[in-house]
Amino acid sequence: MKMKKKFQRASFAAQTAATVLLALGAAAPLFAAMEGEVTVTGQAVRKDNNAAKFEEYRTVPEGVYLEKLSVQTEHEKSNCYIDIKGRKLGLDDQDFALKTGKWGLMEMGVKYDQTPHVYANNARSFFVNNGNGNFGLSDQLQTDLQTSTNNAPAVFTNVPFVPLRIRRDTVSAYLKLSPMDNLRIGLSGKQEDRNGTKVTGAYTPFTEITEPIKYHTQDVSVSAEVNQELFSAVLSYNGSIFKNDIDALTYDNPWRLTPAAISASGSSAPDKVRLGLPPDNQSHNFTLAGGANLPFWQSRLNASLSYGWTSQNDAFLPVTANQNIINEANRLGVAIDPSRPSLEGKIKTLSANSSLILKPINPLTLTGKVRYYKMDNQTPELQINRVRLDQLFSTATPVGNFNPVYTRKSVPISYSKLNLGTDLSYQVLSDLSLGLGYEYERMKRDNRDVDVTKEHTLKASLNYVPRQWIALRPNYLHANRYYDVYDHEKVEHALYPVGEGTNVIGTHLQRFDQTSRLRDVAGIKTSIFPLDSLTLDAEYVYRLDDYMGTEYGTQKEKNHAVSMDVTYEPSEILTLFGNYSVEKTVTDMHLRYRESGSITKLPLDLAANDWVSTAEDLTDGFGLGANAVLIKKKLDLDASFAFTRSRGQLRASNPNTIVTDGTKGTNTAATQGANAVARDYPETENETHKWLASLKWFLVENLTLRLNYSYERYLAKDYAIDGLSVWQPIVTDVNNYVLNSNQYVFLGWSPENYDAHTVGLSLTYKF
Amino acid sequence: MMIRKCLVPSSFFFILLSLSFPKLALANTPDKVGASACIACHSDQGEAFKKNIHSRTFPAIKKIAFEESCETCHGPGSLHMEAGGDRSKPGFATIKNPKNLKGAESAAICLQCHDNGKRMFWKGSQHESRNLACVQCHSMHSSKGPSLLVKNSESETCYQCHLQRKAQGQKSTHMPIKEGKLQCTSCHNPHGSAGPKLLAQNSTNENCYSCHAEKRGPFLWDHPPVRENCLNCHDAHGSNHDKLLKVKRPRLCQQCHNEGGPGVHVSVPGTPAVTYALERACLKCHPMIHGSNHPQGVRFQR
Repeated sequence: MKMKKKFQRASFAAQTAATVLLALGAAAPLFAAMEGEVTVTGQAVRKDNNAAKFEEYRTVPEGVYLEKLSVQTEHEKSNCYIDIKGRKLGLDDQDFALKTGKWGLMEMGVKYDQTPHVYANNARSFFVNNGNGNFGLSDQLQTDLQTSTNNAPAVFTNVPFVPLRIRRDTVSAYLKLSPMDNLRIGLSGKQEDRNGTKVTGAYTPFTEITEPIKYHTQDVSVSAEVNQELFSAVLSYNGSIFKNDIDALTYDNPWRLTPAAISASGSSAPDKVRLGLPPDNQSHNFTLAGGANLPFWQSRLNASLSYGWTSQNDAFLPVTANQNIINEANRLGVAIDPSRPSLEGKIKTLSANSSLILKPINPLTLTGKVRYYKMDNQTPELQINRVRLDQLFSTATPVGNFNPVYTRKSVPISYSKLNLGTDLSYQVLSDLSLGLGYEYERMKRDNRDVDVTKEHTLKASLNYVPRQWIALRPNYLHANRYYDVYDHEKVEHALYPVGEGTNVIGTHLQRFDQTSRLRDVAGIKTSIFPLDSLTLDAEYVYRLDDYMGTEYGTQKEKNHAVSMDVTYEPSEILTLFGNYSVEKTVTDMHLRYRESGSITKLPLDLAANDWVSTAEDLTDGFGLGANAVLIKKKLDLDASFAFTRSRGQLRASNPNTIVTDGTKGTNTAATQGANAVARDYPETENETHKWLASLKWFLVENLTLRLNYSYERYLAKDYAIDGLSVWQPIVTDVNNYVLNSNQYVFLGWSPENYDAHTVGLSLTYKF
Repeated sequence: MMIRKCLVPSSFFFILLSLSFPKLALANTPDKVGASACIACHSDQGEAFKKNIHSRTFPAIKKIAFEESCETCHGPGSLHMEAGGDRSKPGFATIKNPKNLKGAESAAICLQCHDNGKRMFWKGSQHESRNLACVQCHSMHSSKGPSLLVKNSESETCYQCHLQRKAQGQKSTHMPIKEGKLQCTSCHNPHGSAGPKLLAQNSTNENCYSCHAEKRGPFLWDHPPVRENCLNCHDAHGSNHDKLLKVKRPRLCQQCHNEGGPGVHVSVPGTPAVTYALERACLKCHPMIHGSNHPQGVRFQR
């Protein structure tokens, strides 16, 4: 089977190349000047497993394939040309482009591209895809598990593999016309199909499932551009239509063949669960943009105005897949269906920008900028009697099973942002220029905790070139964001129109995207050329975001990054290069463990149960390589090594002694105590190693033979996914302490480590 | 008396000098010599230029004959030619070499023709204000990549200065840039744009929606920070966590969610094996985190 596939691929590649070359050969009399190249590669791969990460966005084929094809030809007298490029034709990650035109008059082209994204090759599932988003299980399996979960270990054996991967297939075409010297017209269209399977989750209970992807996106754009000596202007339209072939994901509940009877508290384990998938939508945008050179101070005025809208009006799905809940609602006469059949969603966007650049005297440049962006969500609100889950429509003691306080109202999220800024650049000395800037931002939000935030930003930079061989570019930025009023309850009141009573919100937590923030960013870039043959580039960046407005939630985020590149060319026949980088990001958080209360118990909300956490990510990497000419015009050698290692830590601790109270909260004191304990998570790690060597032998002027070897290694350690099985029973630690007593159905996948050796022999013919 | 005697001849001298000044200035103004003369010494550049798109577009669009090509960008070359390669002669430096000019002066040569299209907002852009020249990214005579780039690919060209982005692109979770399926210009316009951060679209989210149209909505239940800015949770340039997340789940979600409401779970620090930390963590039960259009999807569970 594998051999047959390889043969088909080689045959397809050969046929494609032959067709293109024959077609061009036929046109040869018209297009005398033809050049291009064809690369055919034979490749062998040896790897220790079928790790998805190895081919995450690419295909590494075995056997013979057409690696590259390019043909350019032109007809000198008529100024017409054809340009064809293709890579890995016939493979999963192939791309192909053809363009043709007449210099100065028009150009048109088509492109085709396939981009795979492989998530996992080791996922497994019993669910059978019955089409259109419906996934089923055998009645026997459901019956066995409904009878007793003790049957699970026997049930979950020999679970079949399911591929988790998608592929984007994109075909696009464009036409550019220049009917007059100062007029350009552009038309383009694109169709993208995304097909495959991703992983998703669902709460019934804690089941991981596959989500079929069948997305289609069509984009079209039209533009007309006028260019005069003093000004340019462009008017454009962009439209995009997204269509999802699958509206809903419905799958059987592994634990129930039949829905359970409605309990006194209003729950019923369903036989199936339904999730809504991304709805169809469309977007349209008109833009008018232009720039003009003003007749004084070498100045220029740029401006743009853009208006667009996005709409979505897919029919709502039924509120639940559990027929028992529907029956119960009907029996009680409670309306659970939404008051209209679809969202009637519409978002309008307005963007207006203007900048004025002035050079009143030669060493001075002044820039003023205004930017306004408004995202106006005009989707009408909708109030719904809530059915919390397909298995539950009420958790509190209901009033006739349904609890009327479980009502929710959708509130549209809108915002507008105004930015005003000015920059000054001054050439202080011939080798030193100074940049200063100030920016003001005002952000206004609807239906968020904060209505208005304002931010002032000061910037300074230097460009210092003390010698021809060295350039230093330090920069610094300080920004202060603050709000007028932070109202924790405003949105909650809007969302819960008739109140909820028991929802204890952390009133001291202000969300990091809205709270007050001091930001400092400092950095320096340098380029050094101590010798003609030696180049050193280096960059250091430090960023600190201090969310000083909030007592809880994210407190600080720090980022340090050092990066260096060096290139040394001791002679014409040898280039050595290397790089080193390290980046560290630290996020500090302060949180509190809380227990909700009940009708008879107050909530447990004590400062003693605070916990702090630090999330730290450290990545370092280096690379070395050489390009050498072993025999001039005969033999070249390229070799490189790249290494990256990342480590992640989630540390947590309780700064105080934990306090429990059996008279408060919904859990017992013992459970409260166990829940409140903060502890470090195991370190996560990943490493990538890549060795590459390529020997190029220029056989004759037009023929090159290339021998490639690569060794790639990937190692990953992640407590969250390592060792998970399709049937995941109770989790215990090394001391048999029960860490988690829930039982799950997972897909049992993980990004596997790999060692892979690839050897390839390529022949390139240039003509 | 003596002064008067000297004054007359000296005045005469200065008058003569001033009359001859235009002629002297004229003698120092270079004239055009034609491409053939340039190629006589700079044959490599000449041959490279013949393969360059400009050798086609100059005559076809700008009606510039091949003989005028070199001096269209480099200026008239007679004095440079007369210097005969002797750098000490003042005429040698009269030729314009864009690599040796200041950024604005160098860019001005290219902007004679290229101040339109995607370069419309070059003036005032971040790169222009940092005094970058076109030739730092493009090479007319020795390009290695598409669009006359100085490096083999777009990303390599950008990484010359953006070293941190280069390092981030090597992280375990990344966009398919090194695989050649995306370019920096898939999101950014390095020549200047009306959007922030040189983005090709008007906002960060509009930029992301150009590939992720399914996230566009609008949804019945919007997740507010998602609707406002994808970068609240994701780092587009590379991450150690899946889905380009900035912080590992569940801490990512707990940055904002510390409620102690029904279920309690979001305020629990948790063990590594607790439901909320395993696998996709919070997203196991709240998979529709980018927004739900299900009538009962208020908690993004459906």
